[in-house]
Amino acid sequence: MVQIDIPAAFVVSMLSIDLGRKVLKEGAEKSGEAKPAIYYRYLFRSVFFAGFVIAPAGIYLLSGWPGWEQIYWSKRFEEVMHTGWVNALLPALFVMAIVFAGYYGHTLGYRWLVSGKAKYLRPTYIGVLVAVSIVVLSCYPSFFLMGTYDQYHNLNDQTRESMASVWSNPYGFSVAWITVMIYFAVAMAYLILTIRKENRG
Amino acid sequence: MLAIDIPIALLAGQALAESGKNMLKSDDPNQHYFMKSIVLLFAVFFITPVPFYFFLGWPAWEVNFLWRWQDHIHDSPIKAAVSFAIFLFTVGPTYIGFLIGKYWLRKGQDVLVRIGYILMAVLVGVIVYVTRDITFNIASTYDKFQAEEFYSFWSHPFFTGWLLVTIYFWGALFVCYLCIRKKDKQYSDAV
Repeated sequence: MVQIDIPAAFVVSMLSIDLGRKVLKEGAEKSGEAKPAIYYRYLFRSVFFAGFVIAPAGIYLLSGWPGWEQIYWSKRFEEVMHTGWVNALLPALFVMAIVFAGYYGHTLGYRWLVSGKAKYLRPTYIGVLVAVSIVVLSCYPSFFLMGTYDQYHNLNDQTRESMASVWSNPYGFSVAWITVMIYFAVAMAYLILTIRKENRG
Repeated sequence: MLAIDIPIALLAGQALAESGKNMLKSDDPNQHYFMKSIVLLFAVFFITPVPFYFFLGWPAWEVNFLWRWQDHIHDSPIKAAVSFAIFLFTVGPTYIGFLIGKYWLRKGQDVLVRIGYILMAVLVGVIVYVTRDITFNIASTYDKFQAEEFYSFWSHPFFTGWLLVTIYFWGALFVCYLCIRKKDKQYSDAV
């Protein structure tokens, strides 16, 4: 979901900083430079995760099921093809926002870590997660229904009753979503294990 | 367009490598990680959004009117999965271009890097010339292209959007090139 993917990139970057705080602090102290090699190594990882895990997963769902992917907030996402240059910018902006969120999460997290404000890290990313959950849950039952903006909002002679349940695999959505989630979970587990291993060694 | 996206990404990777040549020639891991991160960031932030703009906005034109499937990607798990491939087609060649550039620079063959990206620019020009009929005649779908229901490349809104993303990409490449070159000069003066 657009509402989850962008903050997720920010949260993952901050989580990486939090998990790798030992190595990052040691690297910063040893090097004496404002941005040592370890800073860029973690930046590479965060941007890679945002650009190769979160963004493709998000854009995949946006391409295939544009209404559901933004829980029916705007009709513009469903009218991207041949409808002018503004709507076509939305997927591009979505990718950019994910990457920027990943980058910003990393830079802010690192700045806090090396300036003695590491205590803000965990409350910040947990707070973002809670805020996102509230926003998404407040849109119930949109995430359980598959269809279009008009159907969800009962517009143009379309009704919400005609929408399919996501549990019935409408248009192959459920299988696609589970595949994407497995991809995300495996990548996330790999990222966490790699960072934890580095910090133990 | 799909046909020129890969050469342009290779060009960008090589040009960025050249801009940081002294950093890449050094054995300082800090500089290498800096360059790697910047190239990746550039690829995902400034290159990848461009094909997505065209692929989802004008899909038939983006794939050079080669196929019909891209006009119907909604509600299709298999067709929508091409979005994953677009990331590989843009970030992959950029990073490969960067690695090729880095390899030549460390071998002391700086001129090959420049020749490399100039050749890519020439290749892009050749592809655009050879495919001029499909580049400058826009149709919203494959079927409309076959039926010769075109409109001009220069018409609004297509040209407006094209101009915007073109300025975005080439402007970003130019600015990044200059910024890295400045940092590279500072680094080489300091060592």
